[in-house]
Amino acid sequence: MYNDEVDFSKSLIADSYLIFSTMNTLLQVQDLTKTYHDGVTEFVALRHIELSLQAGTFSALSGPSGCGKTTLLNIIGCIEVPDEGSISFEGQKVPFEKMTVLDKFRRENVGLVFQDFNLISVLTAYENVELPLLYNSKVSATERRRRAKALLTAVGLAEHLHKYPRALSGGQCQRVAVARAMVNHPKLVLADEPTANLDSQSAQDVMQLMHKLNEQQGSAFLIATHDPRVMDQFDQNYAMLEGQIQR
Amino acid sequence: MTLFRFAFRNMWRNKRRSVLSTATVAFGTLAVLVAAGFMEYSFYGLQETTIRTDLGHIQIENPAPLQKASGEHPLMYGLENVPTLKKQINDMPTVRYSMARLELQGIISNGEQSEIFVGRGVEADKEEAFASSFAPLIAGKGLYQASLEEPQEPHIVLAENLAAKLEVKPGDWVTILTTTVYGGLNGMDFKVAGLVRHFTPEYNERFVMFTLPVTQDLLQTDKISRLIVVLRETSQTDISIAQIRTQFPNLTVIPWYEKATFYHSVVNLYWTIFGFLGSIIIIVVILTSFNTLMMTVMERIPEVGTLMAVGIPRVKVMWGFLLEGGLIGLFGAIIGVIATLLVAVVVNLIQIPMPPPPGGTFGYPFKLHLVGEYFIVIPLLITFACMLATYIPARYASRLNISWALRHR
Repeated sequence: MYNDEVDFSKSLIADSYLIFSTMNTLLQVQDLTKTYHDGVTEFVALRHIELSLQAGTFSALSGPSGCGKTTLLNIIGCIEVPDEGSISFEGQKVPFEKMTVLDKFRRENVGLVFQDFNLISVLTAYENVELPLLYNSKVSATERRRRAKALLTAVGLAEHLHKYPRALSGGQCQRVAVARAMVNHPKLVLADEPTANLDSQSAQDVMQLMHKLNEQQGSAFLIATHDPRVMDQFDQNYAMLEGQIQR
Repeated sequence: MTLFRFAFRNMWRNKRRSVLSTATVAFGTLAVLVAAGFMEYSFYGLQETTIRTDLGHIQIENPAPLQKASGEHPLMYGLENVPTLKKQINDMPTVRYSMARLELQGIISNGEQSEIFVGRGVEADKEEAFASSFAPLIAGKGLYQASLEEPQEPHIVLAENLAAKLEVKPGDWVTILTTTVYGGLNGMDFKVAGLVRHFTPEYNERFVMFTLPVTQDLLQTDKISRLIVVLRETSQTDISIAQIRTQFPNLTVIPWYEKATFYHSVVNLYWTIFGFLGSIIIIVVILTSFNTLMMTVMERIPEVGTLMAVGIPRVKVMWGFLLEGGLIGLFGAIIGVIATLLVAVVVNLIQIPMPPPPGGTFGYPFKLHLVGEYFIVIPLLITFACMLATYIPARYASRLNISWALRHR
């Protein structure tokens, strides 16, 4: 009887922890598997990935090249579909079978930063930043302009609003890309090797910028990197190797 | 930042390719518009020739000869009370004037040899004024002038080839034999006043023109075969037909286009040729635009991936490319329109001579008749064709796998 009571109280604590944990969990990845096929050859990029990301955290996804970081980010960012497993975002399962729903989900909840900045060359810095909001009916044109200017000011590019990417340095381009990722107030920002193409100083600046935005705006950041220069800045680090997260 | 501005800026990313595509579209537009302009000029020329040398704008007849198919002497049922009828017709606001015609056939002889002729008794002053540019006098005098100068002598004007066969020239006398309205044989000598060159070869072999009073004497009648109505504008034909039919319900009123079988044959032939050539030009424009936009899409695959990754809806990505194709088409079409106007000014000034068309006896200058509707419809059609050509590349872009597109180099 006593043992049962003890078991019950343990169970109660465990449930409370689970509920508390679920309330703060932004992203829950379960048993995620992805295999690429190239003719007769197969490459298993992700093997039964389990990952839980709390809201507002600043996390790293580290590991050597080819370990599956980009694939995992792509699947979390809904630009790629897993073979098996599921992802829950704020407790809701992401419906990978519906492309239009995925596009809408990504537009409203996720910001993306790429290694090569991926700015649109015919658009100015300001236009690149306002781009994700162009077709967001919930944001007015006035608000869109305000946000784009405010973010470019926040990333230190207030003087460069109307410059085209070719007129900006690599560090400045990446700061524009970060501003673009933040403009729709995403709950999650995914950055894939954002400092790989930058010099040390620019890499530090960009990391500090993302950390500052993480603290100010409360968006969770999951940053894939194998750059040892920036590893000390994260709340937690998910280390990957051969398609698996190391325990 | 709008989709339109985005498409406009993208259009000039690869200037050389865009300029080449725009030039192709411009040349295509120019070719179609020049062909259409020449075709319209040809139609206009043929229409006016048909009206002025033969049919007039409207013909008014007594229905009786048409109803009595077995009637041997149709002129027994010719139009009567012509002066009253003419006055009523001439009072209509769209009518310039009307003129009587009396048709006849028979034999014409120079005393040594004879030929069959088809003839027409006319009001010479009006008829010659109406048709002078389209059946030009090549020798002698016109019927009207000859009648004024020598009113006591009966004159005729012969078609060029008929005169050649009879070996007669202006000033010579010929004998005309024909049947009266009652079937009797009648003959009369006429002085050849002049020779005309008729546009239609068949007329050029057989045609003889008389003054109306002499023809009525020859046929022993005061009736006429038909009244020819000359309008102020050819475009007023239908409205005038309706008015005349309302006012004269017992008469047969025929617009020129119901009798112009040759005109319709030429129009159909030209439309077939023009349609075929126009289709080829539009296909070339479509293929060029398709090629340009396909290369553009292939070059911009990572950018397309980025656009979709940052939240631009796929349908907007597709519209971006469609607009880009449409803009190339629109710019090309506008340049093509301007080029056509310049070409038209030059061509219409220098008037390049053209050989006689099939079924014609003399050539005419190469001119462009610019029709406003074509300058709206053809550029729009070509712009639409460019957008249509862009559809497959645009659809391909909008369906790209985002992660594949982002990795693409």
